[in-house]
Amino acid sequence: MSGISAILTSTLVLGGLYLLMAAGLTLIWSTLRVFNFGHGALLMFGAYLSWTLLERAGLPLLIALVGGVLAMALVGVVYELLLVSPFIRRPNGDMLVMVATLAATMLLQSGALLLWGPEIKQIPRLGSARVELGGAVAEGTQLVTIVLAPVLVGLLALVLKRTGIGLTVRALEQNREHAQLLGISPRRVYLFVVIVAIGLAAVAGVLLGSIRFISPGMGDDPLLRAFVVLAFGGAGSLGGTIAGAYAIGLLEAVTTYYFGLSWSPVLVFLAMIVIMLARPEGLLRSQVRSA
Amino acid sequence: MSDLLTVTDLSAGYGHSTVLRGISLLVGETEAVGLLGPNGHGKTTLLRCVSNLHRAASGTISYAGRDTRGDSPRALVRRGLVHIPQGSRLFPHLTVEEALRLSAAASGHAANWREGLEHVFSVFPRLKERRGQLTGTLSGGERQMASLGMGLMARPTLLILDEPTLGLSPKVKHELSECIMRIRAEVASIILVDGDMDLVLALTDRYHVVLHGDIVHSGASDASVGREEMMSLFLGGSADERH
Amino acid sequence: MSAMGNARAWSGWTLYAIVLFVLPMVFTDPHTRLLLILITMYGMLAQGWNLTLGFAGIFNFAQIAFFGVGAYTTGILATRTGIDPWLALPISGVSAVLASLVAFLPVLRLRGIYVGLATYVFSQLCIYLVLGQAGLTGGSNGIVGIPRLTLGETSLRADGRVGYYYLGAALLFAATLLVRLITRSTLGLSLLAIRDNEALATSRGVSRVRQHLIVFMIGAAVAGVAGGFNAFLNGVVSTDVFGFGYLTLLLSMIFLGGSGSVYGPIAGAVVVTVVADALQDAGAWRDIAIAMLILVVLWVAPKGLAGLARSLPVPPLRRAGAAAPTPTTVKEKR
Repeated sequence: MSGISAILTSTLVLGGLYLLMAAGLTLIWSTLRVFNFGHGALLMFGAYLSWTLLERAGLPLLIALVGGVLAMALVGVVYELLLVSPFIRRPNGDMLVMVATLAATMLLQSGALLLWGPEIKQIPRLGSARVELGGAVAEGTQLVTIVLAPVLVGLLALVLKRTGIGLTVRALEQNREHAQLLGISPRRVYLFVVIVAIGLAAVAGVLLGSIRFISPGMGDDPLLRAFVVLAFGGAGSLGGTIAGAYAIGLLEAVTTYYFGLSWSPVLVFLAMIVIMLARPEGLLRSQVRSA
Repeated sequence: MSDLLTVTDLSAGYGHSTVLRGISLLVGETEAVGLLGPNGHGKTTLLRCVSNLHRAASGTISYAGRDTRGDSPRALVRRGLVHIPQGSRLFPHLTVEEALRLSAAASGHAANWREGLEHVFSVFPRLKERRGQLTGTLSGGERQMASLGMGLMARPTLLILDEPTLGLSPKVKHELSECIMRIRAEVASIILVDGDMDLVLALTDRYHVVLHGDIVHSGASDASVGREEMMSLFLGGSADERH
Repeated sequence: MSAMGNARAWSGWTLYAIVLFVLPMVFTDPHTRLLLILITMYGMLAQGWNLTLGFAGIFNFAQIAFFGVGAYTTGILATRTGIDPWLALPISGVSAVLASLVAFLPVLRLRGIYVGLATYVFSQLCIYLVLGQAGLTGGSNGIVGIPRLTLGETSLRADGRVGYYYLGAALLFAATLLVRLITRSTLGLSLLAIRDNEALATSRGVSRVRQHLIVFMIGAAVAGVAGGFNAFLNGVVSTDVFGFGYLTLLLSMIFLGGSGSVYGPIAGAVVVTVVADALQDAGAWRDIAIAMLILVVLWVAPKGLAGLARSLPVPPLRRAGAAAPTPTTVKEKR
């Protein structure tokens, strides 16, 4: 019983973290048709910025965290201007963006090492709430993650569904050329999308920096898991991403519980490769489309 | 009559293949101009250059008295130059009403989009019935109507129609051509490209025949245009027929 | 090819061989020798990778894994079996090819950026497998005490590692020749055809999967041999060989030199190796400099040094081609 409740809690926590990462990657993928390899480094940078506002500037917890996320949105503007838009319209642009975002990862990780040094940092526990449900216990940051991640991504889904900018984003996803002929400026949409995606990654960074630790390489694992989520849920569909994130969270929780930490990632990655071979468009794609 | 659109000596292509070879074109205010000619001779490329979706290699385009070089497609739409592309699959997961609202918002008419919607529904009553349906599930004719409706939502001054009746049955084609007739009466200027020569001649004031990236023949649409003469132009396209 | 072109090609290759041969006589201090050795190794790695990444346009991010598989194969063979160390090099090439067969599976069904994801994940998978099989691979401690290569009685380390240099130079020369032959062959031409217009190429009877598989395996073989070379050179193997460091270093070489060019990656290897060495003590600044180098090249010279070199002389024919208009819109990718 305690095993099942432990698995349930870590499924919801891991799934939430991967959801925040993968939702942003999906959004970028479906509109810009590129993959952002720097997403993990951006998560890390967001965590460091929030930590700095909290511990160095001495701001109150909530303000520091929100400030960190907002600062990352500004980083998103720079990111879009320097790494995405110069390449995206060139022939072979998707590969150039991929290489550029890899370089950005290197830049951000080395920059973090210079700015904050090698010793690991941690954001204190967020809140002292504790919920016990059927033997499963979630408290502090875990609880915040379980609630906040689906709420934020749900909010994003609502924005995409109901607002004007959401309509514009969806139109550009579905037919780029006709969207331009209607007077939609791709650049504005790209900027919006990159800012939102990086903001979500920064939230994931804050949560992860409180659940675990902050280090320059902290974003690598979540990024890889987010890739798996995309393969699982089909990149480009938010519904598939939500289902995929929790499915991968469950898979990881179960395999970690039964096979241990060192075998879990192997099994998760093998699952991804098998899924990609069997259903290149994503395991959940067809169900989501018909829904 | 002053000119709304002036294309001068325009050349364009893709990679190493040249498609347009110094083509020139005038469209006056309140004028409808048809472009005829076989596929692959540059009609669509010309239209894409006019709406700045494709960058010309040389030559100039001026719209409403201003050079359009460097304008984004968005800027041109906001100045009333509206291009309805050929065979668009629209936005498969948007409803008809969402797509129409989108067009109004993107062209800067978000505030009074409902009036635009009423107008579009009066021209295309079928769209009103389908307003909640995803555009990906529309029939070919309805899709063209939605595409035209989206163009109208942008309150065009110059409407560019690329193959609006492509692949439609004669009955739907007839229905659509009546709608275009009505649009033509309301919108000031039109450039119409269509494979159906009779339809183009019926809906326009003047026509040009485009072959190998240039205009080889021009005339008034109401004059009796010999169909056989035109076909031989399409097939042979000798330069001495140029007027 | 004309007789004159043939003669020029021959003199070019002879000159290349002579330069490779003479270099260690000019640079005799051990440090520069080591740099030269690293350049030969990076040069062949970058060229091998460029086959898939540049010429074939496959988003192959598993190349580092093939390098690592080669290094670990040599490490395991040389420390745990009595096999002749020289045999370890070709066997490393073979084991990398076997690994490439697994990594290629996703390429069967996936396109473009998805291949990038799957192959990147593949190389991460290798790290976890190596760490998980600590009994065989030494886990996070790696494999130490790999014996040096010897030729008769002479160690390749002798005389400022001159033996390793000549081995590396021979391998680099062979890799360059291989890449050159492939790009001029029907295989190379069909790869370009698939990259630039897959629908057209397949309609002409070119099999994408077969051609991509062949070039994937060749690239992996080059990387595997380079991995074995690296293991012998360092005497140790650790999971660093799968790491981000090699990945970005090689990417910077390929894109600085010019992806899709035969000789560009060698020029990239020279520049990046020298820059990285000069900044050896700069810590994190070294990585920042390399990352900036990649970005600046992507911004100002997307075709790299090779592209710059090509644009320097102005033959009239080329000029006309360069002035041709290019489409400004991105094609819809589905």
